[in-house]
Amino acid sequence: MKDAILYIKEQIKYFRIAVNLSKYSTKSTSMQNRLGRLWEILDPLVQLAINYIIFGILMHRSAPAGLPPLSWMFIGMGVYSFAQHIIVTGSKSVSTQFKMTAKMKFPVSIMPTASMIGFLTEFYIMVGAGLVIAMFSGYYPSLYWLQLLYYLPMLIIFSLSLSLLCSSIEIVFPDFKFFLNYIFKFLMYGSGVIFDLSQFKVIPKFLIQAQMVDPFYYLIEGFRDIAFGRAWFWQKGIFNVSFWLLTIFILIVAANFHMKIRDRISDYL
Amino acid sequence: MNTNKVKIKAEYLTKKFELLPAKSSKNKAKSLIGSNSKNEKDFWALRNISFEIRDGECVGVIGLNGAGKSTLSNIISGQIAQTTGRVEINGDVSIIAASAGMQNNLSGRENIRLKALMVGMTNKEIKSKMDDIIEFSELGPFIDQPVKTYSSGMKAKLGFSIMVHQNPDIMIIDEGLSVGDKTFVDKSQKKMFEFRDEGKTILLVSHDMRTIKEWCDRVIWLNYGEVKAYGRPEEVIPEYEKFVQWFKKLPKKEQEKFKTDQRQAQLDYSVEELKAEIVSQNPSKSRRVQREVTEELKNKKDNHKLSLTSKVIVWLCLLAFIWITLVSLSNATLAESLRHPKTFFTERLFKSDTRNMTSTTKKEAVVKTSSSSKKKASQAKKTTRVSSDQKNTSSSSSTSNQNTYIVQAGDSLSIIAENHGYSVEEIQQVNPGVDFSVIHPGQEINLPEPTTSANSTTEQSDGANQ
Repeated sequence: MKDAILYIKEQIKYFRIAVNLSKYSTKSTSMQNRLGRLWEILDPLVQLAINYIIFGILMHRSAPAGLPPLSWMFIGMGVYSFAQHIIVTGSKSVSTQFKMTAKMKFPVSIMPTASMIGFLTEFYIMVGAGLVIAMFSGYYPSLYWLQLLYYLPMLIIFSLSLSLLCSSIEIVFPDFKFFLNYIFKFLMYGSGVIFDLSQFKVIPKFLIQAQMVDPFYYLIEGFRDIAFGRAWFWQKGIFNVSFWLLTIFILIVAANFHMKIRDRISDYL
Repeated sequence: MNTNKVKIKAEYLTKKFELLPAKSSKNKAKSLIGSNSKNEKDFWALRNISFEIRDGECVGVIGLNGAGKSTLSNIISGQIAQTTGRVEINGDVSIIAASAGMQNNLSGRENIRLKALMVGMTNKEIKSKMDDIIEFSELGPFIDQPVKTYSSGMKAKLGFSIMVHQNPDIMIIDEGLSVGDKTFVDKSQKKMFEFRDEGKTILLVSHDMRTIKEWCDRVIWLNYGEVKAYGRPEEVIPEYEKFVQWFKKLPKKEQEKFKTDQRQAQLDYSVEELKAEIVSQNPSKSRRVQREVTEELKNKKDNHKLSLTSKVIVWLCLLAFIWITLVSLSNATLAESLRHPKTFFTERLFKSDTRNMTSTTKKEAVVKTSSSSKKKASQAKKTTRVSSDQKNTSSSSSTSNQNTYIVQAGDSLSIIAENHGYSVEEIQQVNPGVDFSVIHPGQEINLPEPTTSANSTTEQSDGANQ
């Protein structure tokens, strides 16, 4: 509890440094490429184009309840890959960059936050494309868009907490990154990112109805609700509660693990 | 030098490194959860080090390779944590080692900006200092080249220039200038003396006795993790040089023996020994003080155990989350599961929830009108589910909606009523606004709430419909 509060305080206090850090690290990586920072925009667009060709043209993907399939899919992919990037890169960032932070005067706990800021561009483009395509199908901006103010912070808080937890585990058990990759590959199909699971008759009904417990599914569906004006988040009842409980649990445990090993990271590596 | 403000104070400092065949994640995981078992193969890089450095002092750290010089400077700069003891640092610490913390792909100028931003300078400050830094670094046109193209001397110059202009209170130079050429070293020396006069503290780690003699007011001589001497350079350095000479003159075998003996001492060291040393060093201390020292050594400086409240919160969160997961895997609501936990676990778990199916609203409306008691309703729901399951296997026409009947060719209202065990009036009652004098194939008719006795007839009728 104490640690979680300390963690949050640090995030607020050093937010400006995290922004600078992310700005310069993206600059540093993009300097190697001829097109430079243009790739930040190009990369998600190319990904979307590939998916459009495969799922939109070749497979005639249909989304549940007659929703426009492409924007349905893009929003799912945008939200999911954002969370995935934060968690995978963020958990790596602590163990690889703590040396640098030790020389500087800021805590290593802001490293996942710094990497999160770098992925925001990609997220905006993918979800933005989803929202724009939805407009072509007649889903115009509505009051439901206000829910962005709820779902976006929730997405960030959840992903950051999980990445903090994974970073601590990775320091202690470096092989964890492989498992993390497998888990994310599986969850990509298991969280209704590209296709809706309820179309598979093999999966028992009671598993389908419990999907909302999956925090990724909760967030993805939340963003889809925004785009298609389907529901308000409080209509999800206990699934909101389950999401918050899980987030609080992860945050407290992660902050505690992090603070425990933070001073001794060099001993672990 | 004459002021008595302590800048760095180290007390009973030790650093233990674990020598393990492989980096055992089992031990690491243990320390994460809390318990840390005693390890036999510990190497004590630093043993019971205490010193004080006041402001305006320049302190040199000397010693053979592996004496713990870099460990000490890393602990002071906060890169690694000490095992026991306490370090008190009053002020900003800045460490310079060759190419420390630079982004190789960025140019020198951008690295200056990045570092300055990270120590919290504003853009305005950076602008005003930028030219000074570039001039001091002597890099000239290379400042806009990526750092990866720099030579080690250029990197050291840049690093040093950035550091001096950050204006830290305490500077640690760990062999940082050994790569610089004579002119640059002279220039840095001048700058360092300026700093010293301003009352800043400098810690210099070097093998170069000449630099140490020229720069330092005091010298710490580290010998295999222990402070062998701490005093003025005129006293310590001759002694150190004498030791080095003596060591060099030893026959090779004895040199080896000396080294292994010292190493063994570092391996055998333990916290208990440290305690004994502290106690013997301070014979005048009262028992109470001794106990305090012991307590202090036991309690590591970071006590990050979960408090009881947070433990309770964590477990409550986890349990509640699992419970909600189970509820969502069942056909009960949260309230129902809490009211009848036993039936919830025995009967309702891992059942699909009929309430959420497509026809829920319609069916529930029917249920509400026809039945008054809750018990009957839930029973009825169950039977509907059973019958719908049967229909799933036998008939394809009415899978989605159990409570409506799609009129087949040749049907009449009376035939439907007879087949399903209802009276004509009952059917008319649940279908308000439907004109039953003209029914046509494909039309959907709501059926009344089936009773248990009707269940068997439904089955029969299904067979007939096929």
